[in-house]
Amino acid sequence: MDAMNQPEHTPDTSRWVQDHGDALYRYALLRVNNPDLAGDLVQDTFLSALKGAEKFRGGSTVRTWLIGILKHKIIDHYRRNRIEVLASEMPASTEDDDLDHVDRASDSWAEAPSQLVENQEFWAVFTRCLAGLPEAHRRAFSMREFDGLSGEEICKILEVTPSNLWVMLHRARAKLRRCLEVNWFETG
Amino acid sequence: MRCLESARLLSERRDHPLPLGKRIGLRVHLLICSLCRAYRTQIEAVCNISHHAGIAAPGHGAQLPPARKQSMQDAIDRSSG
Repeated sequence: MDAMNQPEHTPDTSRWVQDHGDALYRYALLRVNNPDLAGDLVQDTFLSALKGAEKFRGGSTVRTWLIGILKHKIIDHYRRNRIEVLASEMPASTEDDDLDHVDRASDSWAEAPSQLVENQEFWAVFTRCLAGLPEAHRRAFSMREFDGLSGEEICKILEVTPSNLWVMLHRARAKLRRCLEVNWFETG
Repeated sequence: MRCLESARLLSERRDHPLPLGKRIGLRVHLLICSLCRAYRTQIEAVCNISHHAGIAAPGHGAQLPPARKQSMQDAIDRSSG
């Protein structure tokens, strides 16, 4: 276990940014797709952690503790900014009018997910495809697939009905599949 | 069952249990439709890739700008007194 992941009962705040800043930034950037906002969320995380440092008992690593705080910061951001984003992007119906069709049968998707995400070129394609999703769909997809939140939890955070959430997730998965197929798997 | 409905159900079954009739319809459709079987594999791959991405968040070089890091550490130092 390296130094940064050693359980600590008294977090050494003088090294927080150096030891954890980039990892937290990457975690946030994947989920909010905005470098400035990701930086703001990381800073808020550090300051909140500082206020609650006495609550840190060393039961987890400092990194895990900080990521837990950051995860809540991201959800708070979704809640605070939900109306203007979701009003324009909520699916009007469950018709699949803009869904890309099932029109290909590539068998080149067999590479292990863990290897793919460690591939820098694939990562560039993946994040570009993710950024191409409508904001509301990207948020729903992020919470469901990156963080494993339940549909019920996501519905409460985004204030949408289950059927609307299922449509958003379906469209997000379909568009991501299509984008990865065209920009990675077909060209590989 | 049309392929578009099959595609929708292949996604929705990840989020909630499908009614028995839909489950049977989807199973029958997948038996006869190779495109939807491939689509099923790809959607599962998208979700598995995303699961790993969410855990690893590799970023591949994405870093906080040095000036931002400095201002953050300064804010921490000020707050920690």
